[in-house]
Amino acid sequence: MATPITRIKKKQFTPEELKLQRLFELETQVAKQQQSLKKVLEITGELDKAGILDAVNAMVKAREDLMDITVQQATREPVTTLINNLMNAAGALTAIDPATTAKLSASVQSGLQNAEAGQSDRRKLSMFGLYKALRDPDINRSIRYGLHFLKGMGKELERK
Amino acid sequence: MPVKINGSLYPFQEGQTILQVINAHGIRHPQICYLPEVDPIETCDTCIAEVDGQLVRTCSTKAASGMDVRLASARAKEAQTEAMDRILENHMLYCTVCDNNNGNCKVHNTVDMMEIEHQKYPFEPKCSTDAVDFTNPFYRYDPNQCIACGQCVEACQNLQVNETLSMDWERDRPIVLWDGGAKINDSSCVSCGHCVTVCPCNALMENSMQGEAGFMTGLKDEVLTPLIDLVKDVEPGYSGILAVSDAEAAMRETRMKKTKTVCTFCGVGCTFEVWTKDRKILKVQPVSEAPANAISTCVKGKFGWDFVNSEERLTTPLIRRGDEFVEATWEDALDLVAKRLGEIRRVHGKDGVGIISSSKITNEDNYVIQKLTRQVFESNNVDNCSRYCQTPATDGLFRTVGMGGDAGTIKDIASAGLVIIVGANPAESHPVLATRVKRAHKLHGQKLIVADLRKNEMAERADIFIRPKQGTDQVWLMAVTKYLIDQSWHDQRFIDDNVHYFEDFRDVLEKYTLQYAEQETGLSPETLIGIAEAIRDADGTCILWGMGVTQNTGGSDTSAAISNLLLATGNYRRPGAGAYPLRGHNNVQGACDMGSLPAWLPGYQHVSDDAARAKFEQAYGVEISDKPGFDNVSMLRAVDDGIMKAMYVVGEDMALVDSNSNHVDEVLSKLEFFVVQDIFFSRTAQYADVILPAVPSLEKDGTFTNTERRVQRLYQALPELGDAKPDWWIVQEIAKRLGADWDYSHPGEIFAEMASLTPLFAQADYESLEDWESFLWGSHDGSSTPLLYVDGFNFDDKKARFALSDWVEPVKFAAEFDLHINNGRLLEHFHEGNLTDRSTGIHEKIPENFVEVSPELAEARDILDGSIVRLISPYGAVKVPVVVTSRVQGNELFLPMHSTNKERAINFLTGPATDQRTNTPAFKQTKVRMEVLQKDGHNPLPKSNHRTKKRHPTRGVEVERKWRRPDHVPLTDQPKER
Repeated sequence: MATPITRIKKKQFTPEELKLQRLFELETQVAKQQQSLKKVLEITGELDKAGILDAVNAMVKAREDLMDITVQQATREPVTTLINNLMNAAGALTAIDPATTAKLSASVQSGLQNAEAGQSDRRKLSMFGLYKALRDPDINRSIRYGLHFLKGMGKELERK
Repeated sequence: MPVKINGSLYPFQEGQTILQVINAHGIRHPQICYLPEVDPIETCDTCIAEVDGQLVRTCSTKAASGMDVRLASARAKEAQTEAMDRILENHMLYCTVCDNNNGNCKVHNTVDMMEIEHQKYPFEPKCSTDAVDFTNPFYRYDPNQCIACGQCVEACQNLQVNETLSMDWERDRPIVLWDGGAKINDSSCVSCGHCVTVCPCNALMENSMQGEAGFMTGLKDEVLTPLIDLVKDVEPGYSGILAVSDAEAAMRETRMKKTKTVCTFCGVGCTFEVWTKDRKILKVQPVSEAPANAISTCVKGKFGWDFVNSEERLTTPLIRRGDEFVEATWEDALDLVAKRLGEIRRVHGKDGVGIISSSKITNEDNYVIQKLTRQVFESNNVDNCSRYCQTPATDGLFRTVGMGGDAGTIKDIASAGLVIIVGANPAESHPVLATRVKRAHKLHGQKLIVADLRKNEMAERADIFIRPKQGTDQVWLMAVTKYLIDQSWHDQRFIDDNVHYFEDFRDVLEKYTLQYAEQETGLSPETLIGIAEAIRDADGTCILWGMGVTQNTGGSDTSAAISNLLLATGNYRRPGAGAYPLRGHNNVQGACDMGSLPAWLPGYQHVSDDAARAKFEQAYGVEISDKPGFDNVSMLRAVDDGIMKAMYVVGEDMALVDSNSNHVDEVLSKLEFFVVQDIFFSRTAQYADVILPAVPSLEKDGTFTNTERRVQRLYQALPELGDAKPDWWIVQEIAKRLGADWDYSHPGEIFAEMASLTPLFAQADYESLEDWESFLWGSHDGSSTPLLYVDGFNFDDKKARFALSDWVEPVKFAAEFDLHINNGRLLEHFHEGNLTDRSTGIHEKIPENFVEVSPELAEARDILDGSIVRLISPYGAVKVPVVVTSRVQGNELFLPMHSTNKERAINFLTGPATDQRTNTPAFKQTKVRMEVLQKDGHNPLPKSNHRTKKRHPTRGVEVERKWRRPDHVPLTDQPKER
């Protein structure tokens, strides 16, 4: 014979019982993950020795302020200009054929070596000397390269 | 001859658009506004290609043989890029901090696919930031992110057909409007979620996703806005931005779980993914592959799952001790259940114990419950709650065509020439199925006839709406059938080839003249002739019916009369026709299919069939009685008579759902031992000796079978809450304690055992049901059968039978009970509201139960919205607030069934009358008198409810209005745009 009832007596755990339950759950987890837990402990030990844990801890606690500062700093115009410049520069670098830069870099190096070697030559360079130098095939190649470069750059300047 | 795309030849099917051919062959091509479920929208222009030298939209151009399609010609590319530039002017790409960045954002993915680096027109907001509409409890609209593609509008107007959304094409910068400019929560929006599902970006989004989906989306606005500005100022190429957001989306994948599940709020069987993060439900995401619903949902399926995480869930077994329940271990609870049920079975014999299964739990749960009854308790005393609703429909079909299920699928209903709905309100009770009828009716010339007491939404849309007197449907159905035959509009050849007893049937019809019908039903002969003509003229008639037919004293005979009408007019054995009882719960069909019935073994093998019984006897190792056991209703009688001493009720709130609940209260108190298994502490559980906590669908694996007879798998999305367990596990533990050697470790093993004993399921298994695959039972060789009876009706001679029954007059009441009280569902709620009322959003929309009163009656009794009335039937009384509405007329009342409160629940009014063939309670035949307790009160229907709002129908997105804009520059060469 059952009269309808609506009272439910929830098992009330004492704080001590609850603590034991949770410890038991943890124990099971620890037993399961014993290997990886050991490694984690080693890592955290090292990080702590190096003082990194303290820093990370502080950063996590102050994360909202830090985010705020970072974003504010980043949105200042000089910074956006910097980022834009960096990105444009990066864009320019990615557009150039690496073979060209390699060749150019080798040529510049060789040029620098030669210039260093010619440092001791204290003679004044005359117009005639310059003209004569133009007939030197190496110098001529270098000048021609420069002229073509100027032409390309000029074209692009006109387009914009 | 095939079509040429980018120089290669591809075969195609006649009628396919170029875009469909492109997609069928897996060619990558942008298509932001393409929605396969609706007609071409044509707003985004990203799918443009050069076809035979002309720029056209591939989404709306049919493929033709020899056509030369260039997707990547210079002109095509230029048009696509310009189209995308116009879109990006309206949408800011802050993907990494956007909750919609989950790998499936169409705008994001299209920018990626088209390798767009920069946009031509800078982003400009269209509105101030406070224009974001947060009013609806389930979703929000941000016009500043809206690309005005109009997919939401098309879905609302022509797929859901609620007709709320429209596109304001004439506005300076077009945005979406609700009811022409109302706040969402003040509009006719029913919160079905279609618009949110189809939105290709984050303009429409579920509130449950906000600040939850991403790692950085929960940031405070003060940090978030500058962060977005930073990205904008820096102006990196989009490939860079998208790379970062793709990486973040990949991170989200690791903590977000996407699980396929089957909805449990009606019999349509919608399937979708549920996205979860730990126990939090982020959202429900429908997919096009879902066989019953594709991308469609209703408010419950899309947003009604809060109950799963309710604090009130049962999470530990409870045992009655004195005047309270105390928490117990599974060991103690199960030992006690097994000991007491075993004892009672031994002492009082097989009729000492009765078991009631549920139409909400899985097929596997149901199978083991009937097995427990038959193998362990060695009785047939098992039933399920389809007894309360659908058994008469099944009976009517068994008698006439031989199988108790829908004749075809939802696709057949959508393609029928005529749909007749009798005593059902699918727009609220089977919303997604109703969308298919509404769409066919609005766009494809389908005719609609509705017979109902109430002017519900389907009635408002109907070509013919009739209100026969309560309980007289069989009369007009038979009169129409007789008229069709008298006019020789029936299908004599079909009858000759397929149906027995035509001459006897004509004799039974003799008295059902139009005049007799008018006298009994109140419908004029002209109306009935109109119905007959509609059936005559239709290319295929589907009849859909529900509780308005079945919950009557003549429910089974009326169901058979529906089937008779279809047989007489040749509306079986062909697509787009047939009988469709609309199953109300997610697994009404499955619970019956699995043999949780007193007369049927799994797969409709009758207990009197010696061969079938022998097969189960061998499998179960026990003798099975050839006599049917007690059904739900007779079980309660047996308890009352002192024969049955113990009951085990799974997932059913009997104390509320059985008719005449006043009586059920007494009966349940008489039980010596009572076990209730549920997810909540239901009213029924109050009578229990032991309460066993089960889990809802999201916490278990299994299958459900929808109204189409379609079996679909659900997968566990969440871990079990607390100590709650799947039903099959609990049943197995009880069986094992009573000596059974069961050893199921997964529902798949239960399904396999069931299929091995059940010819209808012989070819079904878990592997072939994976993901979005499904199986429709219906052939004795066990193959999947979308359309029944193609090879003949389900009798040995393959012939159907006309059922030869007169109509049954409804119950008579004393004159003092002058008002008829109808009952049924509202869109927002399921069943008594034990589940859906725990959703805060749904509760906000329908906070309390009420009674609908007609304007005429309200005037006569001097009552208003919010007046409090007492309704008194011969069996009990309730006290409810009033809503005055012309949905009901004259002396008709309507009390929704969604209340767990004794003061407001319909079944404290209903009486003991039942359907004469199946014992299903005649819930619909109840009369009351009304006392006014208080005239002034607050309207129980809040202002935010859609029912008092006017819809805003349009033809759809109406892209021509975009093309007519003075500033519109066409991107195609198509003349219609110019």
